[in-house]
Amino acid sequence: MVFGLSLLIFAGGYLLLDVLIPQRSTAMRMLKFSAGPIMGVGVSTAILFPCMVLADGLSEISFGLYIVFMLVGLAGLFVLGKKPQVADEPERTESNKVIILGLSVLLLLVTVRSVFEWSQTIQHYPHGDWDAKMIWSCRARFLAETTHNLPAVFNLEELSHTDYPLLVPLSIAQFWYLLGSNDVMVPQIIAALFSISVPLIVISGIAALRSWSLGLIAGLLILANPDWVTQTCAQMADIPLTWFFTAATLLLAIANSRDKSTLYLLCGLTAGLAAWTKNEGIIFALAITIAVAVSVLLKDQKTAFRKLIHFLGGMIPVMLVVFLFKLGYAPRNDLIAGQASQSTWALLTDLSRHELIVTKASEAFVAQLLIPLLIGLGLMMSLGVNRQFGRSVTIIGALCLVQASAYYFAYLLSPHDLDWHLRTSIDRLALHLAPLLVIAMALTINSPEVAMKDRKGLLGRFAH
Amino acid sequence: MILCLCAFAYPEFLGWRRTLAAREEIQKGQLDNSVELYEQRMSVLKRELQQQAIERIGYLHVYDPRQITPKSEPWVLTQYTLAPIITRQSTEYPLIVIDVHSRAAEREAIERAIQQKWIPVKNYGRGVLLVRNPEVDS
Repeated sequence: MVFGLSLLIFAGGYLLLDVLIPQRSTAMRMLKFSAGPIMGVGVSTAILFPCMVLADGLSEISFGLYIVFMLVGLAGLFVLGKKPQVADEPERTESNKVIILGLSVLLLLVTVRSVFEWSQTIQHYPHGDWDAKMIWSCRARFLAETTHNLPAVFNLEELSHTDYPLLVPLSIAQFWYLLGSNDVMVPQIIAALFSISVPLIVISGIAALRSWSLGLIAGLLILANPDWVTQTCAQMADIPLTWFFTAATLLLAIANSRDKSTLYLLCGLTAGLAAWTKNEGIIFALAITIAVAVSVLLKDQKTAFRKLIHFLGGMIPVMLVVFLFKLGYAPRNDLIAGQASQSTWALLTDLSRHELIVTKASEAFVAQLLIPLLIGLGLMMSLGVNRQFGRSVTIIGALCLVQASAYYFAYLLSPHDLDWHLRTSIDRLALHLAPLLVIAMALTINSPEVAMKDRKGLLGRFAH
Repeated sequence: MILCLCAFAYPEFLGWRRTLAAREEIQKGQLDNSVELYEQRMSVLKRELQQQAIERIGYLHVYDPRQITPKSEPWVLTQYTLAPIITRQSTEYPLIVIDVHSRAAEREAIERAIQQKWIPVKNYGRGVLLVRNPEVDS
């Protein structure tokens, strides 16, 4: 049963990507394989929740209805997937086999180290961090058991943070419901799947846009984040949110480069799923909508409307599920509810709060982003700068800036003890944006092959 | 490029150090098995509460200063292991589960229960007691 459900979810996700990304280059195929299972997990939870609303909780009726919808969707995708696929654009640069081999060996070593670290840490810490027990897995336990009707599960008076969206708890709860027990391996495997998939989609996405060597460098930089494995073992919603941020940003860059409307639809769907993962994702969904509108208008005004409609067509169905949850079930967010008791103006003008946020943010920045940035600067000097993806890089920079500003104001207006709030969350928030900066870096620098061929950067000059 | 490799080597070095530290703790038997321990302690209570279709209970943890765990962690573990029964950090419920981790804390809990005129329902052992608060209607 569990195997069947996994197969249904993963195959559904892969077929969805296969239909919406008709290109069949190696890089695009790898993107579909690495992103498919996660998209399947995300979409399945967005289908499951309305079914639960209809049957007032997770029951035989709601689960049966969910399976029927999934099977119908899978059959539909299977029929649509029979359309002939189109060849992707030819690779822009010749691959240097020595460079690819060297980077692949390095990636393999880092992956082995990461898997080893994961296997040791997860034994030490099987149920994840505080928030996993307090919020995500705890919510999954409530949803998987049928004692309460649906509104009771989201009673803020008795549980904490019940306004948080449900992608992660529902992805765990559906398997726990089938198993009939709260097997700790389920959240562990789901967290690991999201974590493995982030570097894989970045490698394949950058390979599709630029070159395999740059893709491998970007993948290495993501895995080199000192907090990556720790956060995977923590089993919170931050790695899944990072996945949706990364996937939506990559898909937007690919859509702008390939000019395919279906890629905008997929980008919209991914952004919607970010909003279904965590409240921070709602801000991201709004920011990327504006980014898509600006980028399609700047590129070609004739096709802009069609592309925007495709984007919204992907995002709106998931946003409707988010609204159904937020308006029908979720209590007010603690950060918003706490505002009434404190003067917003007093919080905004309190200089000590600004100072504390900047200090802690700088520390998190140094811990998580300094090394990728140093490596990025080193590579820029070594390989030279490529301006071909300037617009995509500007969009990614703007997205990071909007998201970081939203986090800044959320801290500034936080009704909680600010030091505690920053201490317990800022590292995770920095993690959300780290892969986006890595993507921007990979789009900015020349590939080693181009640098050597065209004598760009220090490496090119040295090679000649 | 050498600088890039050095910058890259640093987080890798940290990762290996963390891995070895975790491995050492596992070898010493220092595992975070708190959830498993709570599941063992609370399993009979959970089964009996579910049989009686009780959806909400109050919770009281009597803190022993000699304990190294933070004060609110036991409630998180109790809520996590008793879910889907809602456990509230309050004594304003007809049934209250008392969670203690030492003899001294158990004695203090019993004294408090007598003082509040709570009626003992069952001692589940291993520091888990269930009491009834007669002042709150069921």
